[in-house]
Amino acid sequence: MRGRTHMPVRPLAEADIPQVADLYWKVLRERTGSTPPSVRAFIQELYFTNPWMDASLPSLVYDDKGTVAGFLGVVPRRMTSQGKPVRIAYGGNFAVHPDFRTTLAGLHLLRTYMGGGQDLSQTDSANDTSRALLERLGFTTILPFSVHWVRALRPARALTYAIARVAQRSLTDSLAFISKPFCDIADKLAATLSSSPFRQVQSRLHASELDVDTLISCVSQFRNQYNLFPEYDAPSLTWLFSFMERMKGHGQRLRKILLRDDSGTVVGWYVYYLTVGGFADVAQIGGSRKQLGEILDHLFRDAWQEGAIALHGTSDRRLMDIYSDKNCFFTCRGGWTLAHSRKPGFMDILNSGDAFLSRLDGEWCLAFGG
Amino acid sequence: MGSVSNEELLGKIRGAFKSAFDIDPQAININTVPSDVSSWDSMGHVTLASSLEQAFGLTFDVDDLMAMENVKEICRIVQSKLGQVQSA
Repeated sequence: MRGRTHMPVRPLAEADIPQVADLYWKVLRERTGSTPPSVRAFIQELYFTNPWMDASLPSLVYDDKGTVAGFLGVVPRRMTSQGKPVRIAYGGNFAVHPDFRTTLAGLHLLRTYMGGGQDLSQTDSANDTSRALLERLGFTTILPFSVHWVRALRPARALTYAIARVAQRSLTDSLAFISKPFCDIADKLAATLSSSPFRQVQSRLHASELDVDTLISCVSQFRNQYNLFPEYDAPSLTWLFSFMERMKGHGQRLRKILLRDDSGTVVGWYVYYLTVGGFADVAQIGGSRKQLGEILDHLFRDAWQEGAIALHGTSDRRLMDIYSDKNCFFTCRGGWTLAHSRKPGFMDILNSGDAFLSRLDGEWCLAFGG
Repeated sequence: MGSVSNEELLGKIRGAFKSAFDIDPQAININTVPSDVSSWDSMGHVTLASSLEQAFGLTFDVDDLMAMENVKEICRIVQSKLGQVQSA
């Protein structure tokens, strides 16, 4: 353990990228072999060219005599609360080299991060281990943003998929092979039978590609019912969507859909990562409460037509009844949202669910899928 | 809680190490540092802090947690906290 006179935590520098990329690849992703160049490019782009960069809220490394022994990626995001700007520092990729774990590098990295100049320190995809560590350091699990909804689109295949995730590989392959004909028939019936809770309904809404300027306009219209919401601008959203499309962090393709009624009025929108034959992950759904049911119907049909077997997203506490009515079920599995602030007002807002926060607004959307 | 002798203190700290890391408590002495205990990493440190809290009936804040750099520091912090409890 180091003496207190030397603080080994310092801001990430571009020269650290090769070592950080190795940590990311070998420790976080548990991969072997040499780190692909695309991982270095990902680290470079995410931490040195993101549009929210703020030198006072840097990513951090734990430097042990020139060796990067640990890394904590930090991405600032801009939000507004009660007319005032809010600086949020999202902590994301977090890894310590196994040979250096007894330096307690992880604790030092987190402590330095928490002591930064941000109004809120937050993460939106912590696992159980990170959650325990963060809570001990003073973070709070924000339950309203840690509840996830799941909606089966092809229920038989979704069930097989879920079993496969907990079963052995040999059993999984056999199960998939044997059950496929049955699943195809069962899923066809589920989508078409009028009594089925998974029936796909034809929406009366009209879909078009959601562009950045329209999304900014939509969010500014709908966000005002909340006390904390993201500040979007065209350059940052353009960068974000381009990043998500290229990195494929949570799916093969990004679908961005704007919905209008017969009169041409915008009623809502959604953004999701499509995985054909897998669970599609929803990044954001917007619109009025009154029309959310129709927006969800449209989303379900779109993802079903595109080949997804189920949808998964984070819940908005105010709208859970509608998700429930649309035969979604709820789970806490999908990543914990935790926050820490020295300003108690922000924690009250988050804990009451009074924030327009989606997976587009944190670090979930900044994942690398390679 | 009354005052505890150094031996008693180290004995309880050893018990907390056994509870947190499932190791031979006799392997712990006043000079033990994290690199002497393979599972004493950040997560282990948090577990150890909880075991110490339980053993001594104390609560550690984040600054205490960060200052517990080795067994010597743990002894110092626990002694100091016990003193505060006693004088309260």
